[in-house]
Amino acid sequence: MKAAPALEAEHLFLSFGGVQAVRDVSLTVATGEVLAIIGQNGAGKSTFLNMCTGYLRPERGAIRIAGCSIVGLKPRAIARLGVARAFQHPQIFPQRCVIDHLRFASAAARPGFWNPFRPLNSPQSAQDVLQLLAFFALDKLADQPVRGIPEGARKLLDVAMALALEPKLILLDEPTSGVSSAEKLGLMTRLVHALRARGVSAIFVEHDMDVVARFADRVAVWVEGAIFRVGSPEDVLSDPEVKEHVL
Amino acid sequence: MAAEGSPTEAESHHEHSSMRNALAETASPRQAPMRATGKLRVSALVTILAFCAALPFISPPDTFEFTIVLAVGLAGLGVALLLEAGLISFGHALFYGMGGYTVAALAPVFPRFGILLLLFGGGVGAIVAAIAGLFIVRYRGVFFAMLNLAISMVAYSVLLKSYAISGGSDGMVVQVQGLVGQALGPGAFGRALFYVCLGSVIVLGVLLQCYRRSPAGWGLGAIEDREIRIEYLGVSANRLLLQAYVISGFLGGFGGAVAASAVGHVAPDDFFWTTSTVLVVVAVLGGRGVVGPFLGAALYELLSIAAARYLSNSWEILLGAVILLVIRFAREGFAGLPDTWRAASLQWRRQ
Amino acid sequence: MLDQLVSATIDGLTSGATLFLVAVGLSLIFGVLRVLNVAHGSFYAIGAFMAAVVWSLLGAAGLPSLLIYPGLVVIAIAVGIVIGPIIERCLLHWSFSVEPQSRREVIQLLATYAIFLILEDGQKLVFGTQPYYSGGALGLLGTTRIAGILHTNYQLLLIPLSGIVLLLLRLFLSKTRSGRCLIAVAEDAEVSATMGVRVTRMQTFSFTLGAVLAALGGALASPAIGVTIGIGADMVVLSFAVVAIAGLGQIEGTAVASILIGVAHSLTVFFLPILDTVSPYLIMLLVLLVRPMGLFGMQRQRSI
Repeated sequence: MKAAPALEAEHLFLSFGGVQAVRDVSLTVATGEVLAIIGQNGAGKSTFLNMCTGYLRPERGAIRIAGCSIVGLKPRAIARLGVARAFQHPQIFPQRCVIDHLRFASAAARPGFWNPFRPLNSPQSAQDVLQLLAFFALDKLADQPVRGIPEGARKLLDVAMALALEPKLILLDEPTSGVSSAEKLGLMTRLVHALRARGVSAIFVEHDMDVVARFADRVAVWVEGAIFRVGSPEDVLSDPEVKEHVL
Repeated sequence: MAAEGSPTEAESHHEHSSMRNALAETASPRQAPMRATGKLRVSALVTILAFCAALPFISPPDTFEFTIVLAVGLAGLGVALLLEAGLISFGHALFYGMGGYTVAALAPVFPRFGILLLLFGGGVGAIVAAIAGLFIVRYRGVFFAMLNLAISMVAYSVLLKSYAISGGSDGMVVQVQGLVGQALGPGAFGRALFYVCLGSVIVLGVLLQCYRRSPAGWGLGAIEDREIRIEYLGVSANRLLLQAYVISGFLGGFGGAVAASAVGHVAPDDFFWTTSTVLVVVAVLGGRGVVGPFLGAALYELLSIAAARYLSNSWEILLGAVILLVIRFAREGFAGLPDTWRAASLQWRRQ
Repeated sequence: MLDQLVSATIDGLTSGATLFLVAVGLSLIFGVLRVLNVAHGSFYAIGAFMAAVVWSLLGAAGLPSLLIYPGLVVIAIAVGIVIGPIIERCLLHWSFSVEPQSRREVIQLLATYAIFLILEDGQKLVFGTQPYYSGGALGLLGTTRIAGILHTNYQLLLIPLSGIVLLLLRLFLSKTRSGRCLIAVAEDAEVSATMGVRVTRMQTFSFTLGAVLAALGGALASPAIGVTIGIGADMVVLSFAVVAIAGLGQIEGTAVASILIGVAHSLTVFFLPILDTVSPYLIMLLVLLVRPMGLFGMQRQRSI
């Protein structure tokens, strides 16, 4: 028997007031696949991610993570199923220092989180945390409160927290916006390499077509709340209609 | 009109400076001086504790006051703990009163085992917190504050009515004669209670510090910053809060139990909002952390002694003014004053 | 049995009427300033104290008794207009710029709590600790027998009076320019400011209006209750219960919730006296368990 795909979404609908934000969206992400989502602002990309992580509930349709239906589950329960998310606007704790974010995320993914006598910087996760810091070039900011660090570093920290959970599926909402273009490609190369090495499936929303062409296995093009095209980056990005709608 | 909660956009995403700039700007690691201040803090703490232990010899007649300061500090510590999550409870008298009444009810059973009674007081506080917490930890902000107040007011009115059990408005006499099995005279008992209490403060303070450094303790503080992110990491913010609420209930109950043993009497006023006010003032005045509330309790006691002499009719006016001044000018309380001053002087120099 | 039921319901409606005045003020202040005014009960208490004092002064001066009723209203308005702006401007306004938002909420709760402490003690200093009774005002308008039980016309009149206040408030909010500005600030203060609404003025105005409503509730209730120290603390918890049941910022909902609480309370007094003080809170608990945003409140989705 073939294993269930990492994510299946079938015929999703959602509207806000009178606006149809998501219309009949069906999308499948195979295990280990890296899927890019492109589309203009307001096309429903973030709304889709919000539905996949339980923040919004679709009015109709089904979402399955590794074969398990998640409609109606809370973000927390979905995170426990191995779905991690990074946000377009980084959701971090402004008064806390960088390294503690990763220690906390790392502890959250392991047993013993609730043990009050186990310190946050436990030796079990110390190695992983240092690796993540180095991976995202955050090691020099480790002891800084995140309130003061630049936007690019905040975005990376947000992604790093998602990775610290050791997820099976990771949803990244514009992971490299705010990162300088010089560093973008290098960072994405390492990130995607790390995802593939760990067999993590991924969806990432991206505006930079270079990045999409280079790193995605498949691309889904969103136009006005619906999926306009899905296919390999070469096919989709050379499609003149896609160019007209998105670029 | 609109319902509660306005959309809060993510923190300022104006600063679009690049990664490289950031790396260049970062100062070199400041590990060494931090370790030095850590050592300084420990030695300061040991000195303070040694001084506290000597207090009954320095001023024997005031042993009772010192005990009360520790008791109120413990209960205020419970309020301060929740303050770390950005929540204020206006009803912690519930746990304080519960601890006291537990001692009053069980003292006839174990009259000479005061230590046991104190633990029971804390335990009952924790149990009441666990039950009330199941409901209360779902709420934040004004709801959390007011539901705590409402529950404590209900407990107060129930207590007044159930004369047969609680003695109604007369309260109950607490007859604890000893702490570990021996009956003691009043003076010896007062001293012994003080040292037991000081010991408990040290033990509980260390345990609490462990908790605050654990992932759950860190997550408690992160609730104030961004609760949704905690949920997205697969951790229940409500459960984090429930854990802290039960701990704070234990501290409240334990503090109430100590105070009841010291005073020898409990009254419904222990449940009244005026008692909650004391705990709020102690927590706000002292500031966050484990030491702050005890500092707050000591200041409160000094303030009340001074007020009893000069302003006996306007005690709450004074308390209100103190709260206003602290939240306006020393938001981190007295324990946080050095930080507040440092930040203020930094800003001053910049201007 | 039926007689008692009718009578308890009428009692509940009359107490619900004054409760509504106080609670709607609390709700209004929260809607516009996003501040839960813990000192709100003190406004109620000061209104009641002042009314009781005015009643005894006017009575002693031998003025015609019918002049006294407008006097109660005037004194309530005066109380609100004097203390409302002072408290909002001097003690509360600085807190609106505290960041982050979660910290701001705690700071504001503590600030209004501190104001509450100051006002509670202030009452003791000004009015003393002896209760005031101005029950004479109850009888002046005569009585009516309903279902075999006498009710004072004064208390019966409170019900339509509160209805009128509700109507005026609704008309003000939807028909007048300042009313619409008020709603705009409640919806989104920042956007309203860019549209030319004077947000600061609106905040002071709505705090004052809320204070006037609370003082009015106190003044009108004073003949029917013993005015004594402590009624303010009880009232702030009770009116919070009403507002929580209704949903914060819901005006018509507050009216429904006040009636619900008032009637439920008087029914328990008649039929289940053990629960009388607890019943409002039990209702609040039940409502919040089922609908955390209150009966009429709506969840607002935050954007992330």
